[in-house]
Amino acid sequence: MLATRVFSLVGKRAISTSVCVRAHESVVKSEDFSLSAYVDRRDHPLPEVAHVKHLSASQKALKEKEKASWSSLSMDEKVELYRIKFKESFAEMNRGSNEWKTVVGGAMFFIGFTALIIMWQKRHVYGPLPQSFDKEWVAKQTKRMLDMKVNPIQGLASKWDYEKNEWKK
Amino acid sequence: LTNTSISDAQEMETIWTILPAIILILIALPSLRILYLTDEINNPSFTIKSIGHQWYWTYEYTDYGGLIFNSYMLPPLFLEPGDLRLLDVDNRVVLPVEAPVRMMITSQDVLHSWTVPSLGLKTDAIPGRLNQTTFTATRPGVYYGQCSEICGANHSFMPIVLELIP
Repeated sequence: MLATRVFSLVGKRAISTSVCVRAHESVVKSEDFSLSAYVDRRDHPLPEVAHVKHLSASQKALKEKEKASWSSLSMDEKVELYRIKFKESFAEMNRGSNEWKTVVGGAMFFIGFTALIIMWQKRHVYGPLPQSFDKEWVAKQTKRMLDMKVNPIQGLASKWDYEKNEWKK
Repeated sequence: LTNTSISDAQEMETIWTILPAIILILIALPSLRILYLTDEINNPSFTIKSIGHQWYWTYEYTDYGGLIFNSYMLPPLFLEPGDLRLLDVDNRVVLPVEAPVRMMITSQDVLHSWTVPSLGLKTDAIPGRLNQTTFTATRPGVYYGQCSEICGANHSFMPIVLELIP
């Protein structure tokens, strides 16, 4: 009996291997996760167990008072009864946090670091651009495409005014 | 809060599965029929064969005499200022406008794809198979395209150039 009391106080059911405990508990050991637990969840508003398992003397007295008419309870007593049953109120469990600032800051930091890597790459890794990117080449190329009337309906040549010899406004 | 009490609406689920399926079949069948019908109305003036190799195209004009030539991309060193890099070729495919043309496309080694987007053409070149595409160009000019099926190291460097002359 002493062994079971010690174990239940400490709460370490994993160590319930002693014969003494076995003889008084059920034959099959219950794992922690299969026992009813207290949760604060929006979508599970009434947890299976109360938050406070072992009531102090004053709390026990309050529970006795609860059995009588509730209009005789003061506001503080009602709150105390609530806090026996529940750990956090809905407002508390749904509170926001400042985590988003950390996340956004971290993301921006790494994006900036990536930009540094790209700048380094452009300077030290990549070779020169091909000749066809030179301004004169592009100008000759564009002139050739306009002479060919490339995509005259909605594309390049449609943006050129052939009468005035300039881009359409 | 999660909603766990709405489930099991078998009749509705069946109806809104079967009915759209029927509607889609009613749309698809005439559409497919029209698609296949449009393939048959053509009567091309002449036929050109286009054979893909790694990494160039061969064109054969065999209707009136035998003209066969290869079309390689112009290497950057051979370009004149104003040429289109990676697009210009040494021998272009010269065709007349306003003439329905049949292109028979195949490949000698691996998969390629003969594409000229400005004319709405894309046909895969498959070794051991002859694919056909027909088109009629209405505007004279030079039309460019690039091989559209990964075919090895120089897949990006085997363009197609059509020169349509009036």
